[in-house]
Amino acid sequence: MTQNGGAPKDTQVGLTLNGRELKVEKDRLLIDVAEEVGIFVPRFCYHPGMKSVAVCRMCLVKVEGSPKLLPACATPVTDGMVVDTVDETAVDAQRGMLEFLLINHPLDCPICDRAGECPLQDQTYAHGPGSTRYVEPKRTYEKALEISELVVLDRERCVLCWRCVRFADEIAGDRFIQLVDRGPGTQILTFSDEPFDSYFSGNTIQICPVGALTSKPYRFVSRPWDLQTAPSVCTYCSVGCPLTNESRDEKIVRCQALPNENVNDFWLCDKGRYGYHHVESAERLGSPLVRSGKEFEPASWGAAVDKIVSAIKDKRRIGVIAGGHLTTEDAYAIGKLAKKVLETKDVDSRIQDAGAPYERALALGGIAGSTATLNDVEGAPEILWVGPDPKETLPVLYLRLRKAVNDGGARLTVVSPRATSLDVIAAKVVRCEAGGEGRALREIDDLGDDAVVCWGQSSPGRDETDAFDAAVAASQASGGKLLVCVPHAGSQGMLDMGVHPGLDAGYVEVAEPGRDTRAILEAAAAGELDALFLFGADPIADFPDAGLARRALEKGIFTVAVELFPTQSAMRADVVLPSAAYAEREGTFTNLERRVQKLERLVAPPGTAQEPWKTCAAIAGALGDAWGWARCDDVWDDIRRNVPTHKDLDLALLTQEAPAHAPFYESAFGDVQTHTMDPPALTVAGPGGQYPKGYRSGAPFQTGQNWPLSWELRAFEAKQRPGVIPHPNGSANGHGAAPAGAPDAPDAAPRAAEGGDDFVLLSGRLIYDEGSMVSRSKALGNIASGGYAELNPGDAADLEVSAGDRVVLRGAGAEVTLPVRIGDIAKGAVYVPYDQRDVKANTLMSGVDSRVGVAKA
Amino acid sequence: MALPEIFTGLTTVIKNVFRRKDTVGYPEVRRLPFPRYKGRHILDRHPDGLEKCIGCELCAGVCPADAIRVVGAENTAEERFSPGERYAQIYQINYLRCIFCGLCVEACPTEALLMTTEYELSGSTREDLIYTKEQLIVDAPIIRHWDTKKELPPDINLKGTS
Repeated sequence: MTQNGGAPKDTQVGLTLNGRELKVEKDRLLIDVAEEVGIFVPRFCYHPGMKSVAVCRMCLVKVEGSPKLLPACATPVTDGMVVDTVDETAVDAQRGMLEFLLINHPLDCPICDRAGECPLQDQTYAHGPGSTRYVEPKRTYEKALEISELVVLDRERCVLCWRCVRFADEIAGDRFIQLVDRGPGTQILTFSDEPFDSYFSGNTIQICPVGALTSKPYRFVSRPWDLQTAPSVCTYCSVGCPLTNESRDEKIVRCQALPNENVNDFWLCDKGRYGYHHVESAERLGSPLVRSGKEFEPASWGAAVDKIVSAIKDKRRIGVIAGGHLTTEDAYAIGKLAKKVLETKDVDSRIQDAGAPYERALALGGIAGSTATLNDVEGAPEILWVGPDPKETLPVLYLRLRKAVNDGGARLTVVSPRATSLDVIAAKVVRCEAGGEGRALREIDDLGDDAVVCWGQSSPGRDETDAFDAAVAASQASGGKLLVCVPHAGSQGMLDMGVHPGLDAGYVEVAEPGRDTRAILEAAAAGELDALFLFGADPIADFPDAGLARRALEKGIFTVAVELFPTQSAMRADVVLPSAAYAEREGTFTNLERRVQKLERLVAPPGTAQEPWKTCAAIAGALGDAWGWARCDDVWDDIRRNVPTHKDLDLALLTQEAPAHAPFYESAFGDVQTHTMDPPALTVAGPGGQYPKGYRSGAPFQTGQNWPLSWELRAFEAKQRPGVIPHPNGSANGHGAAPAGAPDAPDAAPRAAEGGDDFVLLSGRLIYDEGSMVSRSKALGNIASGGYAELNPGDAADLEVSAGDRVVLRGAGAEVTLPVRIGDIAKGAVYVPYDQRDVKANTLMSGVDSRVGVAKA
Repeated sequence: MALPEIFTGLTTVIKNVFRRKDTVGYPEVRRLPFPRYKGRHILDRHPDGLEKCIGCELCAGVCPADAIRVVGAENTAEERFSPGERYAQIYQINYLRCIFCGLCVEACPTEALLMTTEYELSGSTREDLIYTKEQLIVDAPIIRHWDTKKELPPDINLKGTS
């Protein structure tokens, strides 16, 4: 698709394709153009998300005037071209190519995980010879080589299409896999002693056109025709990659990326791909629990709700904290329950990012969130990044930033107190002091017009208001494109639906803001609350002051927790209500660009677990305010009536496929009469789609249902579900004045480190950690890196420690010993990952902008 | 008068009283099926004792009655069930659904799944008739719920041969 990017050209060319006269844009690839009009040219190496290399020679077509056949994947269309993809010479070449590929391809389809959705199988059926003339022994290699914790390599099956190598090199930038022994013995291999430890390794499995790269967690678990699939959205970070959940026997066994070139292109990170095991975890709560003394007793929903109602009736001092992994409907229900029924203003959804001043973005177009889309980021001439390391926290955004720089030629400036993975592609890296991001941003004077400014909370527990104001000001000066990187899949939905002390649903500012998370917990710890509601929130694990969260929850205030798991916080509550996980429910997530995308239900929740919006409605009903919600659509009817920004959002739009003018799938099949696409909304790119008519007649399996498609044919069939970004009602300057350089911002310079042991504590999540969902993944649970303390070389020298030595960190009354890593980090700061097995950084934090003592162990 | 009709009827009866019987005294007397009769399945073994089944699920995929359930798993050096990488961790045939069409046997790439001439399948619960791998494997004993005293060849009563 690289070839399709950039500004649309009005230069059109006319060509004849299999006898049809076509007018298409100049410089597009023949293979794409053919696909658009419903002609599938067989291919192995070509992938629309990567550059063409034309090594597999499968897509050879006849072009009049050319002495030889030309590869359709590397031939741009030109005016007057006459192309025949089904000419006898082309068909013969394709058949010959397949015969060559099958010379060494083992006949182990019966045990190959790819069989049934294998492009080589499908294309051999469709285009290959009926038999082989080759009788000699096949080339053999050691089978089933585990090249990482997640990927298994079988070199015998490889057809040397380079897709994995190109993905690792071009897209992910992790060059862990390569072609070696070039020549007759060419093979794919990782470098010796270096596993394929890429955060994106799962994508190579999905794009492999044979079964050479297979998934270890999915190994021999199922056959593609056993799978039930439902489109969904990743529940981890706020990029919101669309994916399919695929289940066998009511258990999710695989997740695959769904292409949506507005969001994730074709990719997923391994956390999203392998992080689904929490859904079927034995620890899931399946029944409401009511505390009696020190123990919990299972209760019916009615009894649990009665208990809540009797405890909070006529109480007015109630705090509500919601987590970031709930859907937009849940967010609306929580906001409505808190503000209308419980009549409290003390509502917040910012836990890990407590205090992040998202509402200050209202100056830009009246949105508490992004004004830029991910496509804006990709098309921007300049990008300014100030925030966490996107490779760890927003992995697919990292891929799109790489694409913006490498393919789009964007000039990237990174402002960070600590090295990020973006530094290698950045044109300019500003290494500021810890807390000095705001000042560093204001000092940047070479930012051109139409730059996209990306901001995210870079370190939990720090006041980054100044940096945020500076980012908003920089974006305003440059054209108003701001990407606000909220942390979790549901965080933006919470802001949109008014789960915020200062904002009502639809970004309506309230006159007197209520308490934010920190203030709610402080009030609870001081005994100034009557009740506390936690919706998918685990402040003890996530809030950047574990001590405060613990004191608040151990104060004896009546607490209700709605949770998936018995988390530390939930186990200190009085009533625990089970919640349905993302694959068990219908709903929507709003991603960081405010795109609303739909989840479909695939498996049943455990026990009587239900969606949190139903729980909210039940509590409201018991308090005398019946909302009359039975289905997701009812919630949306209510949202449309009451949230001005979402008043036009029709759920049907979310299941709608990409409009005809969307790139790549542009008019795919739109005007092709021979192939009528009238699938139900659920048959997007996933097993269960239908073959193009006439492509192959008669399914080989009599049962016929769920006959899977190979990736190629799925992509051929795929209709993206682009989702919808609601437009804010207000005009661009409808909300408040611009933050004028943040006059009341605190002094941007941090306090100088006093002595050698007083350090600014920087933190942030790594991709794999002890989060309640990802740590329950059987595939990812064991590959978290563990804790460490990253120090500046100068500071390390002062402390007389070197890499690998151990240091003691003391803060907030806690003490932890960690190995040292020396890194490119601001002087006077120490970085500790947020939530690892051996260190919970939030136990070292107290108050805002925590400092820790560091000493040699 | 109906006398002629009565005599015609009685003639038929008397004729058949002295003919050889088509029925056998099942279950004490049991007629063997023809060798290519499609009865209950077995899962074969290689001569070295390893299972031929590799858990590929092709039988389950081809089954028109959806009677077969297979779940594959990976052989390890310590626990090897079949040659190669994959074996069937779960192999079940539901004989309440099976229509004995034999497509599964045709689909089997390793000739692990074969059909015997065993046709006496009965049980007192639905679960009894879901045969597991332990019951299907070739060396599992054939269970009949009664004693057969005599077995007859399959063509014993065919017209023209009796």
